[in-house]
Amino acid sequence: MKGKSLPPRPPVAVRLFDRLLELVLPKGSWTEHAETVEVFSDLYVRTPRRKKPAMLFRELRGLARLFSARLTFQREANRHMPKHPPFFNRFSDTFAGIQHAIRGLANNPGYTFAFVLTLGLGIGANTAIFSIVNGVLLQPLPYPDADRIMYMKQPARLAGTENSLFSFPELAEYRAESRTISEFVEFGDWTFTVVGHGDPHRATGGLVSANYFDVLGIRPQLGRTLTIEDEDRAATPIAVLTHEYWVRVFGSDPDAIGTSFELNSKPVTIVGVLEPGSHYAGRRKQDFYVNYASNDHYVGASMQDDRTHRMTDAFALLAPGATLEQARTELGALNDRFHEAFPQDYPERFGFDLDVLPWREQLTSSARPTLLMLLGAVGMVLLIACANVANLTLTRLVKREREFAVRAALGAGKGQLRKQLLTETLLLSLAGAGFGLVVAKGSLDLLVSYTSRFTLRTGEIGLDMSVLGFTLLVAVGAAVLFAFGPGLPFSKDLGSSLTSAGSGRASGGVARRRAQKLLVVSQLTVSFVLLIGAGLLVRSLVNLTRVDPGFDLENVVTMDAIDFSGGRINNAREWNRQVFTEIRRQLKGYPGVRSVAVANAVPFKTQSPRPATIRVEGRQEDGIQSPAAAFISISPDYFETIGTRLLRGRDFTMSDDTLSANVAILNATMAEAYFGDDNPLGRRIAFLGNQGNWGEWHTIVGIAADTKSFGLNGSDVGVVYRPADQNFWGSTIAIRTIGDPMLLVENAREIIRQIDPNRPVENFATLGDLRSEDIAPWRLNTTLFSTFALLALVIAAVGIAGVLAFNVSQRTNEFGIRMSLGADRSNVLMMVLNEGTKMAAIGVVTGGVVAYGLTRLMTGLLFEVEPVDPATFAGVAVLLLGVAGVGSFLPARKATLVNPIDALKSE
Amino acid sequence: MGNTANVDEHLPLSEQAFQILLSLLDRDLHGYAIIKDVEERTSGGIVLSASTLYSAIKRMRNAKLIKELSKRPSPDLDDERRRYYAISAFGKRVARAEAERVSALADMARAKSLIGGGVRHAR
Repeated sequence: MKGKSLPPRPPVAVRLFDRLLELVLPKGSWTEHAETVEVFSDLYVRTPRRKKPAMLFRELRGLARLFSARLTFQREANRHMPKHPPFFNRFSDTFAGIQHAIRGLANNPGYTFAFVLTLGLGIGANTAIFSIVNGVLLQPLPYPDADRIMYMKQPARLAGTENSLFSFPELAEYRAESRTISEFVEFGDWTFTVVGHGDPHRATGGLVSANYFDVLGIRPQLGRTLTIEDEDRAATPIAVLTHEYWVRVFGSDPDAIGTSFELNSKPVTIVGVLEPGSHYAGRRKQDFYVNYASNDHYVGASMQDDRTHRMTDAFALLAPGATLEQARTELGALNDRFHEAFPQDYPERFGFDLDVLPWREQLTSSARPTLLMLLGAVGMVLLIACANVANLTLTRLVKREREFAVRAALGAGKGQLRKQLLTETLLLSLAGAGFGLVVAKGSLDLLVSYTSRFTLRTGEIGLDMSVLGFTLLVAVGAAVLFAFGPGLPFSKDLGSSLTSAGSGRASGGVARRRAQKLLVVSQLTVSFVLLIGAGLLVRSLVNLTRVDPGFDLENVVTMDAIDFSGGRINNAREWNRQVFTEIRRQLKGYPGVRSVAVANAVPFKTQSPRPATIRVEGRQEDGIQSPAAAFISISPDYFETIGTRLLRGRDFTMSDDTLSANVAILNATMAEAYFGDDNPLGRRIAFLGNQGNWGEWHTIVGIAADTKSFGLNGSDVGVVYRPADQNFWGSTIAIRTIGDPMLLVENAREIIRQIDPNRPVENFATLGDLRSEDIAPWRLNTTLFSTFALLALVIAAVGIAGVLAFNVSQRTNEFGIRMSLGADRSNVLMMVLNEGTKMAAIGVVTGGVVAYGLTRLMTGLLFEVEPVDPATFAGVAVLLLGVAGVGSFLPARKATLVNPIDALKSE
Repeated sequence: MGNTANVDEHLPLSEQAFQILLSLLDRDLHGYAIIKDVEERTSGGIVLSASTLYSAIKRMRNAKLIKELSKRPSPDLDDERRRYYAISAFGKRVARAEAERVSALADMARAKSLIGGGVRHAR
C-alpha cells in the first residue's frame, strides 16, 4: 500500500460546490452528497482551463434544476396541509392533543381520580413540609449580616449541661481580647409584671447590650433604640417596644414614646418602637427590650462582678475577613486561659467548654432533626405515590393496547403515541400538583404552629416561588417518568398485539407483570420503613407517658394568682402571707377540697434550673458550685397537694416563718449530690446570694422524692424547696380535690376575688393538662409521622390489590383451565394469596434492611427505645403481612369465582 | 422478478437515464466514468453535470434499475473513495423496452416517410 500524506485542500470551486449542494439538498435528505462532490471535483480537475467556464455553468444549471424540483415537491406536499403558519400548526396540534387527552381521561374517571388523589396527597405533603424546611432551615435569617452572626455556648459537659450561658465578667474579657469578633452581644430575658398600660399582665422583656440592635440590623420605627450610655447600671431605666407589643397593648399609639410603665414595680420610660419584624434571639418571643438598669438583678453586684453568675446568652459578630474557624481557635484559646487563671470558677468535674456556631444553626438545632425526619417521611410517601401512579398507568396502558395498536396501524409513529401519553400524564400530574398545593396551603397553618414548638423561627414560612417551583418540578418529572418509563405494549410485535388485544388479553405480559410487581414490592418496602419509624415514635410516646412524673396527676388543678399590687404595699411578703393564708383556709374548707398549696412554680413548667453555689456546714465551707439546681418556694401541704412523696423528715408548717430558724427540703437527687450516703437531716446548708454574699444557714428537715418538674424526658435535677414565709410567696395555687377539679374553678376564682380583688386568676390547668402539654411535641411528631406511614400503607395495600386484581382478570382462562383440570377453589385462592404475600415478604425483608440502616438517624427523637427495636420490627412485619393478605384476598376470591365453562368458551 | 407492468411504469425513460443504462450495459463504472462515457458516445451531445448524474442515479437505484457494487477494484488500481454502479437485470429489461419503444416510434415515422432509413435521436 502506498504511504498516505494528508490530502491537499480542495480547490475553491469544489468547496463552493460542496456548500451550494448542501443548500439545495440538505445532507440528511441526500445520501449521495459525498460522491456528487467527488465527481464534481474529478470533472473540475480534469477539464481543460478553457472549458472550465462551460463546465461550471453546466453544474450550476444542474443545481438550479434540483432546487426547483425540490420546491415543486414541497409545494405539492403543502397543498395537503391546512394553510396556517408552522407555529399555528404546532399549536393547534397540541390543542387537539390536549382535547383528546381530556376526553380520554374523562372516560376513565376511576384512573383519573386515583392518579390525581394519590399524586396530589404525595405532592401536598411534600410541598407543605418543604415549605417549612425552606422557611426554617434554608432561607437566610432576615438580618443584614446573618451569615456572620455566631452564637456562643459554654457547655458543662460532665454535668450534662448543654449551655450554662456566660457571665458579664467572662464576656467583658472576651470583648477586650478577641480580634476575630467585632461585636459581642449580650442577651437575657426576664418575665416582667407590667402595670400602667392596659390590664396588669406578664410580659417577656429582653435585657440586651446596646449593640443588639445594630448587629441584627433592627431599626426603630419610632423614637430610638439603646445607646452605649444606656448600658450603665446607673442609667435611666428605658424600654424599646416590639412593633407587635406596641400594636397589641398600646393600640399603636405614637404618644407612647416618652411615657413610662412599671416593670416589676420599677418605672421604665419607653424610648422607641421597633419596625415590624421577627425577633429570634432567646427562647421566647420578646415583647420589649430594656436596658440593664430596668432590672434590679442585673445591676446587682453578683450579676456584674461574679464570674460564675452565668445568665447571659452571647452572640458574636465575626470581624470582617475573619472565618468561623479562626474565631473558634481564638476564643477557644481565651477560654483555656480563663480555665487556668480561675480554676475555682471552672471546676474540672463539670467539664466546662466553649462552642461557637452559626446562629442560624443554633436557632434551628432542635427543629432540624424533626423537620428532616418529616421531609424524609413525606419523600417516601411521594415515592410510594409515584410507584402507585406508575402502576395505574401501566395497567391502563395494557388496557389501551388495542387503541394504541390501531392508531399505530393508522400511521401514528411511536413518537406521536409517546407525545399523547405525555400530554395525558402531564395533565394528570399538573392536576395532582394543583390539588397538592391546595392540601399544602390548607395544612400550612397547622404545621407552622407545630413547628413553633421546636423553633422561634416560623416568621418566614410560606408557600413561596421556590416551593411552587419544587411542586412543578415534581409534577413534570413524574409526568415524564410515567410517559417514557413504561414500554409501549406493542413495541415488539404490532401484529401479535393486534390479535391478542382483539381477544381482550394483554400480550407481552411477563415484563409488564414483573415491572408491576417490582413497583408493588418497592411500595411495600418504603411502607415498611415508614411504619417502623412510626412504630418507634409510638413506642417512645408510650414510654414517655409511662414515666412516673413524681406527681399524682389525678384531681389536681393549678392556677396563677399574680399579685399586681407588688411594691406599692410596703411589706409584700407579709401581705402575701395574709392573703394566701386566707385563700388556703377558705379553699380548704370548701366541700370536695382535700388540700391547697401555693408555690412559685408550676409542675412541668418550672423555670430552667440555674447554676448555684451551695456550702455545707462542717464540710466544704467555701461552697460547691452545682451545675444546675432549682429553688422552689412553697407553702405547707405542697407535697400532699401535688402528690409527691416525702421520703424522710417532715413537711414545712406555718411555724416555719421569719421568726423561726431557716429550713429547707431537698429532693433525692440534691441530697445524693451533696451528702451521698450520709443522713442529710439536721445538717445545715447556705446559698451564695446575688450580691456575692453567703446567705443564712438552712437546716435540712426533709427529703422529697424526685419529680419531673422540667419535662418528662429530662434527667433528674437537684431541687431545693424553701418555705414561702422564709423566702417569697409565689403565685401558683394548686388544689387537690376529691372529684373533678375543674368543677371548682369558678368558685375558687370568686373566693380569691373576694379576698384580694387586685389578683386576677388565670391559666387554669390540671396536672394532667400540664403533662399533656409537656409531651405535646412528641405526640404531634408521632401523629404526623404515623399519618404519613398509614397513608403509605393504604396506598401500598391498594397497590397490591390493584395489581393482583388486574393479573387475575388477565388470567381468567388459566384459572378456568386449572379448575376444569381438577384444581379446586382453595388451590386457586392460595395461588393468588401466595403471589400477594410473596411480594409482601420481599417488601418486609428489603424494608427491614433499609430501616435497619435508617432508623439510627432517628435516635435523638426516640425515648427509651432502641432504633433497632426487635418488638417494633416484628410487630410492623406482622402488620404489613396482614394488610397485604387482606389486600390480596379480594382478588384471590374473585379468581375462585371463575366459571371454568365460561372461561373456556370465551377462549 | 419484475413483471411487464413494472417495466411499463418506467417508460418513457428520461434521456439521461437511458444513456446511463447504456453506459453500464457492458461494464461497471463509477460516476465520473459514466459522465465521460455518455459524453463520448453522444459526441458531446449530452454532458451530465455531477448533480444531475447523482439525482438520476438516486432515482434509478430506488427503482432498482441499477445497483451499487459492494466489491471495488483494488485500491492500487483505483481511487478507493469511488463507488461503482452496475445495471440490474430489471434495468436491462427497462432499457430494452425503452429502445424498442423508440424503435417502434421510428418505424411508424418511417412508414409515413417522415424520416429515412437510419435511426436518429429525437432532440
